[in-house]
Amino acid sequence: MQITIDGKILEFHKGQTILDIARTNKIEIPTLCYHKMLKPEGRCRVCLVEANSKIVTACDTLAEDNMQVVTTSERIRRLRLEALNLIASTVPKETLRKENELTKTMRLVGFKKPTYKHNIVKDKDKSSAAIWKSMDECIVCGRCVQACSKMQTVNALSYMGRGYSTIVVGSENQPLKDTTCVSCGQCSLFCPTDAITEASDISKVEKALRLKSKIKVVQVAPSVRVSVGEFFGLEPGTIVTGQIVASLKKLGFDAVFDTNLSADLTIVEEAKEFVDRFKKGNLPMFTSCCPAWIDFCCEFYPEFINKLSNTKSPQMMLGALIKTYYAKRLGLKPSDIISVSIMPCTAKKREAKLKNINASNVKDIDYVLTTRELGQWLKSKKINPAKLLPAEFDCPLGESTGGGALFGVTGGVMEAALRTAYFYIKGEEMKDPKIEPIRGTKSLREFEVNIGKNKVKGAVAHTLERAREIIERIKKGESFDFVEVMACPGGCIGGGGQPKPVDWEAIEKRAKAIYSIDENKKIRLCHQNPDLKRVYETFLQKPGSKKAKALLHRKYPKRGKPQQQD
Amino acid sequence: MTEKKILFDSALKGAGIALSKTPTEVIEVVKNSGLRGRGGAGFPTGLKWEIAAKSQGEHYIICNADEGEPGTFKDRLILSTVPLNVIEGIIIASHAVGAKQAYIYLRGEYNYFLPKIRKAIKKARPLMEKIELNLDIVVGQGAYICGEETAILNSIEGHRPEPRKRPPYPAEKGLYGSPTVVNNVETLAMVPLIFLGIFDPKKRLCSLSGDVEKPGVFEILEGKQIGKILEEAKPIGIPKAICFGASGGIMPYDPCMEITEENIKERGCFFGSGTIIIVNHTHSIVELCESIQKFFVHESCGYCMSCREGSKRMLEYIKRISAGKATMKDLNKLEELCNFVSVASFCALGRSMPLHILTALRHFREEFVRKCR
Amino acid sequence: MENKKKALLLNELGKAQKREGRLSKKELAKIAKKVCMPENEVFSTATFYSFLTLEKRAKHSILLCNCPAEYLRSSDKISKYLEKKLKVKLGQTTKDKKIYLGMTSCIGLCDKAPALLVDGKPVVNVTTKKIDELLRSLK
Repeated sequence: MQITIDGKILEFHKGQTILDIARTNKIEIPTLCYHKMLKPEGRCRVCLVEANSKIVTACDTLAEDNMQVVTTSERIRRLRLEALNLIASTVPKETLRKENELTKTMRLVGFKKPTYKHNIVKDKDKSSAAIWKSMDECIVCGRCVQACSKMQTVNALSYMGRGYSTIVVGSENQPLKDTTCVSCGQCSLFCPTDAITEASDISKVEKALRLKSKIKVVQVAPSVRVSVGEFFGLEPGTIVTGQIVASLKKLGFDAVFDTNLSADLTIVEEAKEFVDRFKKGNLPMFTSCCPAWIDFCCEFYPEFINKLSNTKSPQMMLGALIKTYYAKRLGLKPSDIISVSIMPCTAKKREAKLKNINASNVKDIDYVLTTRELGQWLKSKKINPAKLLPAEFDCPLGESTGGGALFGVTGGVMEAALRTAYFYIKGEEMKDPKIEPIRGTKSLREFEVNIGKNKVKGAVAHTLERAREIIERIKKGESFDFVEVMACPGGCIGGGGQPKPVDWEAIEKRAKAIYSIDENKKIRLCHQNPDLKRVYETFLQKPGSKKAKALLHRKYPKRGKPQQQD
Repeated sequence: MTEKKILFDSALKGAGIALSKTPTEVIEVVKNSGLRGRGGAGFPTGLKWEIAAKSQGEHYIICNADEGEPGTFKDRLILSTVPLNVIEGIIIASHAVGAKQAYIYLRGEYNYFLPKIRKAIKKARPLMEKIELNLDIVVGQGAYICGEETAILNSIEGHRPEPRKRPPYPAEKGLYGSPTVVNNVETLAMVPLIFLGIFDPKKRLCSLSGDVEKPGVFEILEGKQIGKILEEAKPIGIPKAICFGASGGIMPYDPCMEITEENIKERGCFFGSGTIIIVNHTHSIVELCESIQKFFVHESCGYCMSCREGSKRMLEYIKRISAGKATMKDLNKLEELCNFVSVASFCALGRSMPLHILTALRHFREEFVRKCR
Repeated sequence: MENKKKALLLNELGKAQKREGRLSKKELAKIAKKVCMPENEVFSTATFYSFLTLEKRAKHSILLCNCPAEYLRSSDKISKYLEKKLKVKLGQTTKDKKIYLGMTSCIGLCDKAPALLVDGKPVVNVTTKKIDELLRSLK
């Protein structure tokens, strides 16, 4: 079938929208509420084009054979300007001065300044430890509600009222913390105006850095190193590990540790737990590194809580080591150390504030910043990591293996864990550590891996819609041994705290980079990490030891999301 | 309230005849009758049924009794005088498309008709059982948008009654994604008359109100002069304009104009649901527009930005004009905004919202200009 | 089967509103369970409709029709008279929580304008005299 767009005759297949065809053929049509990873809803009316002399929205209008489309006429230009005029009037002036998807679309259309008076919407919600919501900046594009209710099936956000007083609220108009919100932050990632953001901790961290009496330590999550460069004009997937370390030093941290190391540690403990459970029962075992998934499971499927692995996440494990092992080595009290982490994730903010999560007598992690916050912070300090010489992570918690790196991507925890489980079961190393069937971007992947005579049946799910699907299937009687769940699309590389705007291409490039980090590591099996070996020899004894259990494992509530400390 | 009956009471006879025919025959009869939807869009009823009948899946019939268009009350009269005709229409439609479930979507404002409708359903029960039809009533809770044929689907499904993207049309993919016929009360009430051989497609009901002494529902023959109708309704004062409901536009009163869809369309207006509101010389068109626009601001669903924000901004302009605080520049901007909303909105409600202002500006521009600085 | 349950939602909401004068959280949760829908969505749907309220408004409600035909028949005079008599503005409840005075979209009684819906029942051809009688009967 054929369609003519701006005089160009183009081929298309059934089911494609005008926008799909235009984008594949590099014809620019400005959009705002449209997002490739979501279903088009046609709310914002910016992507107007003429199709067979009728005005339609390109995002949700299916192309028809011999359709004549014009995207650039004067009439279209004026209509788009009017659309933006109406939209821009709904947000405060400051929002229009910032860099966001709204202002980007405004530039593209050539729109300068709204002519209508801004009506203030007073609705701010800072109740959640992870997500802040300010409805004055909201343009009711609908992305957050769709991401929350469809992609994540969490239903923590909803529309209230109708007409011009329609507003996005926490479900049933409650503060977010009282809703089913699992803090995944996809709403903030998709928000085109920053009406929903992470709960910002930059100023608190800056203040903490000024405390002379404290040792300031920071850790960097696996997926941050392949995405933060995007704030400084680098391609998605550019690996800037050393540059991040250098920039964090410049910001004033005394030591920069690698969350990849504690990812290795998580695997060492989790693979041990899996092998034990594989022998003794209580399967499937669900991974526990994603706090949004933990919240989801506790909130919606309490009957599956005992199926969760009880190993802590890499963030909390490194936090535990920092405030116990590292503090001990320096002869310090845990409270002498300020521990910050840089995460791709908003849920990690809440995780750090949970009751019963700490190994020391103080908070193991004092503050969590998202990749976005790090980008903002560096920019405000005029530090460009791209222009810095790479530096090394600090001793004694800086070495990591390829397996740990994989935590950033969907399927990564599973792959790394099975590499180590293989060793635990067979007593020998895998010949080729790459386990192909686990990899890929499909949102639900099932596979079988042979370890000697044993067959491990596993599944990997990303997005909580898929997590729900796999649980429902298990409830209906299907059986799995090991299930990995990551709440965000693509895993942490598509995390709720990652650079905006998000798109699949960027996520895939970040995934590639993660896999290349794994491949380029001399050591790719988590249990071979030399720093960790030392930690075990001098401190933890052995995987699953009493001490390891006390410091690196956690308990879950019987039902309902784990509670926060105030 | 006693209402005069203006429709023939079919008393289940029409449905009786229809049920003795095959579904295909019924559709053929309705197609040949020339019956078109009376809710606004005027889509050929038989064709709609045929499309639904041919689409795969469970089939549903919805009787749209959400008569919300301001100035429209013909469905109220039908429901209060010949509710059985409507039930018959539903039965015939269900038989034609093979529906086992039908809904009457009754607007909340007409809640007081429930007993009457239930009584009529009871009377028709034997016929319904014959075709294994289950008929439920869903009572609306105050939202004009539910009269829109896709919003009504969302409303019945329990979602926010926001409109859906068309295509697919409800006849192909409607309620729960299944083929669904959405027909207006008057349309369905006409169906039994077809089978009794007394249906005339040239006649339709019209709600007449406004500045007249005897407002009410009139059966008018297409082509009748508006002046002749007003002779019956007895104008108060000197008729100046005709307003075709909130979304049908406003045009100057011309006693010689023959009432046809074309004549009305020529003047930029839309006869839609057969609403005529007479406006006399004492009223300002600007103020009339203000009152209509208030209605739209109250009823915009908020789904698309164009209608949500546009309705509010349009009212701001009109209020300013009405208060004598606007400039000619404002007037031009209002017109541009109206042009935007009329093409850029998601659904028919949004797109028809500016019609009253656009037609008022076309025919009564001087009233606006006089108020501008 | 589930589909049929969902179609009950609006009726259930309407009944609860009539019974309790508002939709409490508890009531919404109960209804959500009954119709097999997420509470969140039931809430969102309920807030859309103008007849449904989360807070109790008043014992009685008087709704004025906002349609242009009513406007032409001096409905504004009636509304001003009501506002004066009840000492409230449109959209407000009287101090004694007895009467809510509101606006609703066309009630389809333009041929009997001005008209009101009083507790869901129509009152037509309203005059100031009729209003005085009406208010006395509502006390």
